[in-house]
Amino acid sequence: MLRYVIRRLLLIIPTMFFVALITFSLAHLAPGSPFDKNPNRPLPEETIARLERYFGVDKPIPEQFVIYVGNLLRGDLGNSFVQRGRPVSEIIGQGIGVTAQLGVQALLLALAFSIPLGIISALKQNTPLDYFSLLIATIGTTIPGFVTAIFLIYIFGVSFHLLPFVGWGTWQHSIMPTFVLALGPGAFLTRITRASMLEAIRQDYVRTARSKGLREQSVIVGHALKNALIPVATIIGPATAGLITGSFIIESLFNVPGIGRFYVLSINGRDYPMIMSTTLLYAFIIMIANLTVDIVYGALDPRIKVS
Amino acid sequence: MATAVTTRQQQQRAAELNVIARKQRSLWKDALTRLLRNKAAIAGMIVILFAAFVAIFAEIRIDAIGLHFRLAPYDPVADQNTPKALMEPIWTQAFGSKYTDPAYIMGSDQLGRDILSRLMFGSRISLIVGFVPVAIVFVIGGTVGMLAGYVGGWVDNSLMRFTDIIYAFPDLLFVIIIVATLRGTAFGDILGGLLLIFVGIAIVGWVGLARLVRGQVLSLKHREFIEAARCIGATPTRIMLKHLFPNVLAPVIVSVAFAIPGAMLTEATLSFLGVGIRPPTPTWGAMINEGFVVFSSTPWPVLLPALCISIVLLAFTFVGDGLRDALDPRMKL
Amino acid sequence: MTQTRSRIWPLLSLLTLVGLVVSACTQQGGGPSTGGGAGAADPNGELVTNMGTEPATIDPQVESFVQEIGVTMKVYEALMTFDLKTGKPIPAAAKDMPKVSSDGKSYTYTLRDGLKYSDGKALSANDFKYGWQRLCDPATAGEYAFTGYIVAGCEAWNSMDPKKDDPAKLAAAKKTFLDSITISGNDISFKLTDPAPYFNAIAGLWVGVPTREDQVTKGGDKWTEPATYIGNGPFIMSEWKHQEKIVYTRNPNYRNPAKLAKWTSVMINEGAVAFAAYRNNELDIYPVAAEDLRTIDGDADLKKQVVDGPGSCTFYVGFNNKKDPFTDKNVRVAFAKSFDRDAYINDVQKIGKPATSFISPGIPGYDSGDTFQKFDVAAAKAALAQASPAATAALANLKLTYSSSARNKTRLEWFQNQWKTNLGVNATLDPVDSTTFTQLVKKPETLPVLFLLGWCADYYDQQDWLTTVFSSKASSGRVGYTSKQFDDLVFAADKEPDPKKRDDMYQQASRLLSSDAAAAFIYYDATKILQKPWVKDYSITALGFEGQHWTDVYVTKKS
Repeated sequence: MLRYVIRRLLLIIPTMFFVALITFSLAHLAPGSPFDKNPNRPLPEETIARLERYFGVDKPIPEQFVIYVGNLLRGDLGNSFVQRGRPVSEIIGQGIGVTAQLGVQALLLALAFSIPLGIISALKQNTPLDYFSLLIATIGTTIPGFVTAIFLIYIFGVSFHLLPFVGWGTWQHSIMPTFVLALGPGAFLTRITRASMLEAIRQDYVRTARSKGLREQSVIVGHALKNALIPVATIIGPATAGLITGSFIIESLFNVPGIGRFYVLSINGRDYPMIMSTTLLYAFIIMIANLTVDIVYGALDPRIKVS
Repeated sequence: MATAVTTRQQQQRAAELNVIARKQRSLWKDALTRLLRNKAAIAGMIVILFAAFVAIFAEIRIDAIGLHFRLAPYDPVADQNTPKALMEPIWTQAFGSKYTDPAYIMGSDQLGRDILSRLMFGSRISLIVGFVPVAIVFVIGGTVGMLAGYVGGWVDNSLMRFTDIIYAFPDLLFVIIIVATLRGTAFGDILGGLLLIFVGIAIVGWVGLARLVRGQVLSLKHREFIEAARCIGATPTRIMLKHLFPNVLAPVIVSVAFAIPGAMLTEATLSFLGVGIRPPTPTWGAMINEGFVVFSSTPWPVLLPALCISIVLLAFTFVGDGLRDALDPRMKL
Repeated sequence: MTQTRSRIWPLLSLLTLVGLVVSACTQQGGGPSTGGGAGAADPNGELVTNMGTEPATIDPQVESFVQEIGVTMKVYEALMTFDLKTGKPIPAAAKDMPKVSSDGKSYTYTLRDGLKYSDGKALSANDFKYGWQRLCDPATAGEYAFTGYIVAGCEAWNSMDPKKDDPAKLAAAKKTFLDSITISGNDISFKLTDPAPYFNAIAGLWVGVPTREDQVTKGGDKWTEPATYIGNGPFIMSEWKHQEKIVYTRNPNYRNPAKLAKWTSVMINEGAVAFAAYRNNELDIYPVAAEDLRTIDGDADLKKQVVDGPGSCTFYVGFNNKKDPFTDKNVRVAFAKSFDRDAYINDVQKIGKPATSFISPGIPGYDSGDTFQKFDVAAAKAALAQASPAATAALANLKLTYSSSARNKTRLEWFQNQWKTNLGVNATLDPVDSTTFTQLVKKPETLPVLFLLGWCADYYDQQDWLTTVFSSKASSGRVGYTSKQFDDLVFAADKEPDPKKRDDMYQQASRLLSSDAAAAFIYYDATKILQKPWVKDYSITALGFEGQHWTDVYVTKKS
């Protein structure tokens, strides 16, 4: 087990290197410099040339990559070109807090509605209640977040003025983005909970528990639920990673100052240090999440052997 | 009470045995029967067929034989009538809208183009983007997965490493970066940028399928029937095509069924972000993107395409669910 | 470098020499607005406005964007500022107009007595000198450093490579520059390379505000955070929540305290969202977009809140004059006459004014009599029919390149349709992201064949328009137009001392530009805002950072 974990952790290094290489090449393939900002009021060419020289973006791209990787290994993420003078680590540090808060809220919300819904749905299989929760779950997994967001903004923001949908700050501001983000993973978790609960209540040990004359409630909670939640637990890691790396559209729509929104802005502004660092951070989060699943899976269910 | 339970269990057991017995006769026929019993899947299929009908007959033009038929009331691009811009759907008149015009059933956009016609033409892109990249994924992912699983060795190793890298990117962001970077090139010009979208979706999508097929093949390749085939001297190609392929097909079909709405969603998202296919071809995502600008004064240019996407995506998901239940009753997601 | 310099150069001359410009602009309806509703200023009043996006930088000696300048000029005050009504430079931190030496190459400003920074520290002439030093220091890597090149030694020092050049040479260049700014008590004198009557206007720009050496050193890379961004202007930047908002509070140590107690600038980049926020009373001022007009029209309250002001840009369809089909003047003329500008403004753009010549109203040289490019399908078709075979062949493969956005997409689809309908020409739309677009249009080698572009005023002079954009010495090859006749006219006019003759020459040049159809002018932009009834004396000007712009606005009690 330990060897397996170490091997997987070591694999992260070459993977990160290739992620960096691909991102760096793609980012530099896109034409334009970080200082090409306003076509209607362009900076004089001499000024742009001087700025590019100052920031080292006039060097050959392979050389820039080597410099970047060198700095990265020393822990220096560089300064943003677009938000002049601000260290990338600081911008990301600020944004990740917001994104993580949003992600955690969304995850908690998703868990809070998906697990009860999934359990009830499984216990009342093929009743209208089951169909209803399945429909909700299907809608949640299917409809893109930006479409849900549009409907919500229209209903709660524009038509009834019930909720603010601009910016970030108060808890009211976070309601809609949290809900929209929670919907996808929540719906997915509902389906998983329902499926594994269905499987669990048909298992022999549940029948045994029942035939021992245990109360139905303790059969469900003590025996079926415990085992049914294993797949749910394993999915939490990737779900969190998905919430953090996938929130950029929602952040942009609701004007939430998280890293997702900065990321979109930095791609547009050719802010190479920001693009690189954010992509690498995303990749790291995802890889750790995937690794966690495999480990947790092995730990929770002794039948599964990782190899 | 106990008796009742026993009876029910016996019935269930009998039913299961029955299923197993029938399965031996014909898995595919049985699956079809089950699929046709699934009301949601049938509803989904009807919606998809309807969308396909609209997409095909939105306009048919074969100049060689002088055939020109258009189901859509207007041309979605050229019929601009700017003084009639941003009409609202006719039913909003009942709710007091002053901006309706019977000529535009679902209203008009900023340039006075008929939203209904644009929605009809938009279904073309959505469906094409649903099917073509998924077909690419099917061919590439299936082949590589099969080779990796059966042949193993360096094919398997490179696949797994490559998968690690692709999986490390947030997939939607990866597509966005690829498309945004390459759309300025000559490659991005082909088919008005459609090819680039296909490739972008496929690049990210095929690894998942390849992994699925690989896993299936790994679990099958030491089974008796494969060993038997090998014993009687079947070539690896024959084993893969004749013996392994039919046996991995079921999960692959299910996976592909879900990949279709996934690809449509990706296209809609790209268009929504303004990096979709080249204007002026209308697509639902692009309509949302343009309509969002006027959202606060009239929501319909956004709500209608959003509704279309939602319905069609749901339809595909219902069919996917139905297929999965039908083909593999043990997978219960 | 001369070109760079020329951009802000003669114009300023305009400012002082002709006494001109801005007046034209403000006459148009800028000026303080007087909304309905009586009421005295609320001493604790807060104004909430939207700045769109996070400013890339608010370092006065680095920045170049209007929105960034808006932050700096709330917090700092330069030696001079501009009169809200006439646009003429007037004293700000300086007590009076400067003493100018007889050769016109030395400007001496005397500071007002008792000036303080917001933290109470006394402000000295040395603080201003430090601001200028930062501007010209190559290590600052400022975007508008070229505006300081008129001060002796600035250009030489600024053009050096601060990382690779010999430190001794850098130090020498720095010393040369520092020697040209001398301090004596409350006086600060600038030695210029040439006589420059427009130097007062430069002294009114954001580039020379007195950033504080102790705070810049203390804050390092992060000195623009509230703790160290300490200025001498009407407001204190008390909070900056990145990507969210900047909060300013009244600076009690400012010589002419602002009427507002608090000014909050939020960052909402989505127009529709900002409009909803305005209607929700989350914003007090909102710049109207075309899409909002129907909503405003249908709402009597909103309608009363509309205020109009001048714009400073002209938008045009750019032709690459060096590439087929636009090497052929007939094709250019055909395109220029082929679209219905009135319909475009009324139905698509909605805010702005149809343009058939380059210079925008409010800038000297605006020529309403130049109607050569007016919409005329018959003339357009006739011109196209005379096009050379090579040009006609190139029409088959025409790409229309633009900076991609939802709004631009709709607009360009309109143009595409006009050319198809009126000329029978199919142009393919080619959206590229804005950074790529900026890059493409600045170089002659990459200039697209057909594109949509604008030009916005840096200052109030024809030179900034005609010479800078269309002459063969244009600082960037905007359309590849070369005409000896045009060049002769504008270069002569740039140097012409007689205002009347100068205007005449520019007018001839401008008409030549229109009739050669170097570009097809579409519209002049305009500013239209919604302003809550409790907002008073909020001014809209082309410059937008005059001192009074910040101090005069107030809010009455919201009811």
